[in-house]
Amino acid sequence: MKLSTHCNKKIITKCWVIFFWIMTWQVVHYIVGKDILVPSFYATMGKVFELLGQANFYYDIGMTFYRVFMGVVISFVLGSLSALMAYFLPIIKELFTPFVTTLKSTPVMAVIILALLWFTKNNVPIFVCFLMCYPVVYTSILKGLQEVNKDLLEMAYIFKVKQRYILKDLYLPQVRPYIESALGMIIGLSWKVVIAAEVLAVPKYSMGYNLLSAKSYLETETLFAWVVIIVILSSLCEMLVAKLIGRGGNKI
Amino acid sequence: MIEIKNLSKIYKDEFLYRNFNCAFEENKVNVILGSSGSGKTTLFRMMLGLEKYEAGQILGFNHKKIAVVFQEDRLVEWMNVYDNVAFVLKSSVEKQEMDKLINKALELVELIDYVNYSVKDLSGGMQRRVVLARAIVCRDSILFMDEPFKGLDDELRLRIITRLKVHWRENRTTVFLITHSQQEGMLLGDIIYKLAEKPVKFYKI
Repeated sequence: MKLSTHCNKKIITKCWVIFFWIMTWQVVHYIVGKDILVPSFYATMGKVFELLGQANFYYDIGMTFYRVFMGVVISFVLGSLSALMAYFLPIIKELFTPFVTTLKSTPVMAVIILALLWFTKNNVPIFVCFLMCYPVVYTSILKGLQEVNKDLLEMAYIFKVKQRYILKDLYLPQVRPYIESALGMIIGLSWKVVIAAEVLAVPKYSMGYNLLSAKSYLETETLFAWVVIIVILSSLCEMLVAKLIGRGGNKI
Repeated sequence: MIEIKNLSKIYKDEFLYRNFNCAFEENKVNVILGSSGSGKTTLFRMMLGLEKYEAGQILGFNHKKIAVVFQEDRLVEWMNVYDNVAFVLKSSVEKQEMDKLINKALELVELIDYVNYSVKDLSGGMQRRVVLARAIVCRDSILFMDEPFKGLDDELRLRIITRLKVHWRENRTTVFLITHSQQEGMLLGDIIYKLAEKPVKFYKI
């Protein structure tokens, strides 16, 4: 009973927050007074529903989603593997440090421009997403591994515990928060980076291309509608990953 | 026979052990007595292969299973009592056999009613008993124990010591017990070595 009251309160609060921001949007719209600069909430939502009725819309979303997915998977797999290698082999860590530091401080735009020279326009967003997300995964997981309790590892070594139990029972529970945090960070980042790369690379089917053409034709309503859709999709992905991690975590 | 030959260890620019020689007997409880800072734990870590030494040899441990009670508890805090003890067994023992061994060990340390408790929820003394159970559950192992009874109240300590003495005699276990308590040494030890001076010398009692 208490729990459901608490949940209801949370939902009501969230509704109020959403209502507040929609009202703020409307107020700004009235103050500016020009649809071409800030369209109204209603006009934007009308555009969203209009887009929902177009067949290409789903293909565009599907292709962008595919690029985000590939970028996240590749950066997560390679980031985790190289963090493991760097943890167990100090020379690899030394080798990777300048590469990761360079990636961290390189502007996204510079990476996109270079990628445009090296890859086809369909693959540029995946590559850029990988390069931007990889250092986040590598740094976070390496930090997690370095924080693993050495006394416990020593204990397991003395008792001759098999490697698979050491990995499953000692490493994984201690590194898990760092994996979760890395995933949480790269999901949000990947959407931003992929769409930025799509705007510059202009692959035929992409959300970025739609953003660019809406801007070119001064269709601000469409531009806002796409932004709303991107925010919703990115948030849904973050929620889905958080749920999956939560379930996986309970099993450990 | 477990032998230490001509062992030398420098600690903070000073010889802690210099040409140190000692032979320990197998299937006996070898107690190493000494005050704090006398080099007991360093010897213990060198025997376990966890600490390097400048010269000498430690012989007799090749391919032997080892179980340890470290000075610190080193419990896996996200596991319950059962899983902590099972962690050191599951690599080598079948589940059914493991259950029997764990129950026996937990009975010995009077923790059988706390099998499913998270170790985080136990008192310091109870956690120490889990550590004891984790070591004594390992059959056919050489047992290293560094201040194993710290934090236990006198009555409980005596009860556990009495049971352990019988358990070790029955199983002919080789034990290295490090303690600063003469009482524990006298109660448990078959042979007692007292550490004195620097560089360390042993006096067999």
